[in-house]
Amino acid sequence: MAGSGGPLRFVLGRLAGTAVTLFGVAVVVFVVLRALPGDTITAKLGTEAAALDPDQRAALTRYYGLDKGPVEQFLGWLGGVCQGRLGVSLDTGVPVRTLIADALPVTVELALLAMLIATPVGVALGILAASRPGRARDLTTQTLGLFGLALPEFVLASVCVAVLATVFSYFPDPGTYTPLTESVGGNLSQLIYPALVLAVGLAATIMRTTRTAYLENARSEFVRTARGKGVSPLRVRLGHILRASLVPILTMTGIQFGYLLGGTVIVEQVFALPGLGRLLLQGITQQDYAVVQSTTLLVATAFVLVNLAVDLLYRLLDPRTR
Amino acid sequence: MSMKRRSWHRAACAASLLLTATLTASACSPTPSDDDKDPSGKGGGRLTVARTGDIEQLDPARATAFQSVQTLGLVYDTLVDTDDSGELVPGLAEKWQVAPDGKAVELTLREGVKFHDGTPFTAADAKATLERNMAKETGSVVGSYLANITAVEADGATLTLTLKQPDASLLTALTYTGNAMLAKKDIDAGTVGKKPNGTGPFRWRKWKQNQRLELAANSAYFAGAPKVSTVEFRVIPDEASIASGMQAGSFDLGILSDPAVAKQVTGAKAAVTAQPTLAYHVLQLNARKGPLAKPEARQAIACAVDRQEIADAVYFGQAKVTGPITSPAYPYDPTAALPCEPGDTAAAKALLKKAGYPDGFELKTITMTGEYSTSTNIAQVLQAQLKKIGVTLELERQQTNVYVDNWMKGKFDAAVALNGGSVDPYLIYNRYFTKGASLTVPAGYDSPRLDELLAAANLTTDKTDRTARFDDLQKELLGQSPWVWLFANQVYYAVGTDLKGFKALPTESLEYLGKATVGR
Repeated sequence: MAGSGGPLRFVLGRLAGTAVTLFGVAVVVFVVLRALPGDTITAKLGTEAAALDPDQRAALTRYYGLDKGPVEQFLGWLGGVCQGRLGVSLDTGVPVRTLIADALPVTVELALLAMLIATPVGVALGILAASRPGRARDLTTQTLGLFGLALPEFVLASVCVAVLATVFSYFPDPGTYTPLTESVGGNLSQLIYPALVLAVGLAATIMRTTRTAYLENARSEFVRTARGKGVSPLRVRLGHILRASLVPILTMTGIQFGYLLGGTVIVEQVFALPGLGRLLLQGITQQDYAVVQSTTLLVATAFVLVNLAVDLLYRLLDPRTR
Repeated sequence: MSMKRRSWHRAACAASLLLTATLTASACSPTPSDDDKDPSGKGGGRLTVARTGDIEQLDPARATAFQSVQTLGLVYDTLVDTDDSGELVPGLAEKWQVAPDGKAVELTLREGVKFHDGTPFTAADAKATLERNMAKETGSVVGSYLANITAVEADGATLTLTLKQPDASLLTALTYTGNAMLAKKDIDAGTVGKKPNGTGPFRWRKWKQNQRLELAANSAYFAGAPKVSTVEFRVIPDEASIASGMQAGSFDLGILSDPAVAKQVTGAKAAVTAQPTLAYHVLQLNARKGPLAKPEARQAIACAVDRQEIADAVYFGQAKVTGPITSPAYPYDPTAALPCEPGDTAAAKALLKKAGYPDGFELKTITMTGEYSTSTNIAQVLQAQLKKIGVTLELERQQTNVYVDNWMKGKFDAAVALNGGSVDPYLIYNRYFTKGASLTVPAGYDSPRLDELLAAANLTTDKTDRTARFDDLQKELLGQSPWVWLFANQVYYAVGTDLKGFKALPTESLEYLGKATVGR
C-alpha cells in the first residue's frame, strides 16, 4: 500500500481495515462472554442464586435484560454503540459511557506519564549501552534492563505501596482519582508511583530496542560516509544514527503504549486507581456484558489508532516508506 | 573525540534523568488532602472506610453483596433490629405482639419518623414495602422468608401481618436489610434503587462508582444523630493495599477478609479486631451418591477432621470452631454429638471399615478461587488430614461462577463452602433441609427427621422450647454428618487510632458507625 497514493488514501485504507478488525473483536468478545459458565445473576448472587425460585429467577432475568436472544442482544448493543450509546451496566445500572468517561482519563494519563518517564530514560540508557558495546557500562545497563524486565509488575507495585506506607507513612489519597485540572499536585501524587512502576519494564524494553538499533545503524555505510565527510560526531549521532534508529524505537514505544491503554490492571488494583483495567476486570468477574463489550471495543479502537499513528509517523521519519 | 562523545552521552542521560526527577519531585511535593478533615471545621468529622468492593445494588430487596447490604443498612431501617448478642430489639416498630395461635403479628410503628426526603414514615409505607418484597416479580432475595404472610394490613400506626401458620423466624427475617422500609411513593414512582431514600442514620450524598461513596449524617435520626458528619467508603480492591493504607493512616476503618493480610497490619496507627461472623466454613458432603451415601463413611470423615488444626493453619488460631448453629443466641458444643472424638483417626478407620470401605475412597472436592480466598488453604489441610484414613480429596479449584454453577446442581462429592448464617437457626437450615426448599440440591442430604425438626422449631415462639428443638437439630446434623462443620468465618476490622466507639458485630453490620467518633 505504501508507495501508491498519498497519505489520505493510506489512512482511508487503513481505517476500512480497522472497521473490519473491530467488528471481529466485538463478535469474539460477545461470544466468549456468553460462553463463560454462569450469568450476571449467578455472578452477583453467588451461591444465593440457588435460593431463587423459578419465578424470581425469571423476574431477575427480565430485569437484567437477559431474556432476549443472543442475536437480538448483540445487534441491540452494536446498534447503540454506532449511535454513541454504549449500554448500561447490569451491575450498577449506570450508563457504560459514564463508567468509561470516569475510567479512561486515569488510564490514559497513567500510560502517558509512564511513557514520558520511560522513553527518555530508555533511549538514554540504550545509547549509553551502545556507545561501548561489551564494556562495563553496557553490561551494567543490560543487567539493569534484564532486571527491569524480569521483575513482575505486581511485586514491584506491592513493594512500592508497602514501603511508602510503612517507611514513609504515605499512601496518596487512595481509591479515588483527582483529575489534573482539579489539582496538579494531588493528581501527580496519585499517579507518579504507579507510573514509575510501569515505567521500569517499559524503559527496559525501550533501552534494549534502542541499543540494538543504535548498534546496527552505527555500523552502516551512511554513517561512515557522514563521518568521512567530516560531519561533527554530535551530528552523526543525533542526526544520523539516532534518527535512523527512531523507527524501531517508535514501533516499540507505540506497541507498548497500546498495551498500556488496554488497562494497567495490576497497577490499578494495587494502587487502587479506578482506571479502565479495573473496570474491565470487574466487568468480567461480574459478567457485566455491556461494560466488557464496550470497554474492549474502545480499547481495541485505541490500540488500532495508536498503531495507525505510529505508521503515519514512519512516513514522516523515514522517507523510504512514503 | 572520546571526550566529546562521553560528554554528549552524559548530557543526554542527564537531561532525561532530570526530566524524570522533576516529574517525580513535583508529584512528591506535599499536598495534604483537606478531604480528611472535617469540611465544616465543626465537630463531627469525616470517617473513611476502606473495603475491597463497591456497593453494586441500590435496591435493598435485591442486594446480596455484603458491601451493598452493609451500606444500605446505614441508609435504611428495618422494622425489627437485633442487638449485639443477636436478640430482637425494636427498630421502626416500637413493639410487636404475636397472636396466641401464632397466626398473626401486630407491629406498632414508631411515630414521627421521616424519610430523608422529608416524607413521614407510616404503616402504609411498611405495607407497600412488604408487599413489594412478597411479589415474585420483584425478584427479592428475601421474598421467600415472607412466604407465610397471607395479608398485610395498615391501620394508623399499626401493621398487622396475617400468617398461614405460626412462623417464629419471621421477626428475624424482618431484621434483614432486604426487608428495609422503603417509602411508598418511591415504590409507586419506581425510583427504588436509583437514589436511596431511607430513614436510617445516614443520608445518601454522593456516589462515584468504583471510587467513593459519601453518606451524610441524618441529624433527625430517631435513635440519635450520628456523631460524625460524613462516612466515606473508598474502594481499594487489593486487601494488601488496605493494610498499607491503614498503616499510613489514610483510613479510619479497613475491612479485610484475608487472615494473612490482616496480620500485616501493624504499627501505631491501627489495630485489628477479628470478629467471628454468622457465616461458617464447612465441608459439604454429597450424601446422595457413592460411598458418602453410607452414614458411617460420612461419620468417618467427620471424625478424622481436626477442626482446630485447620483454624490454626489457615486463620492463625483465631477462628472459632463451630457446630451447625453459629448464632450466639443458641450456644451448643460444636463437636459433642459427633460419633467420636474429632481427630480420632483410629475410630474413623473403624467406621470406614464398617461402611465397607476399609481402604478409603476418592472424593471430587470443589473449592472456590477469587473472593473466597481461604477456600483452597482449608481444602489442603483437609486433604492432608483425610489422607490419614485413606480418603483422597481430589481438589478442583474453580472460579466463582463455575463453582456456583456446580454447587447449585450438586455436581460434587465434597465442597468447601462458606455459607451465610443468620441469628435465627431456622433461617440458616430451612432452605437446605426442609423438603422442597430452595437449596436442597446443594445440601446433598435430606431426611424426614430433619424436615420434622425444622418445621417443629419454627412453629413455636417459646424460647426454651425452640432452644431444645434446635439442640435436637444440631445433634441430628452432627450425628448424621451430612456436612462437616469447621469454624465460623472471621472478618477483620482494622481500626485506626482516631476512630473511637466502633464495634464489630457478628452480623457484619456497620451500625456502630452511627455511634462512633473520629478525633484528630
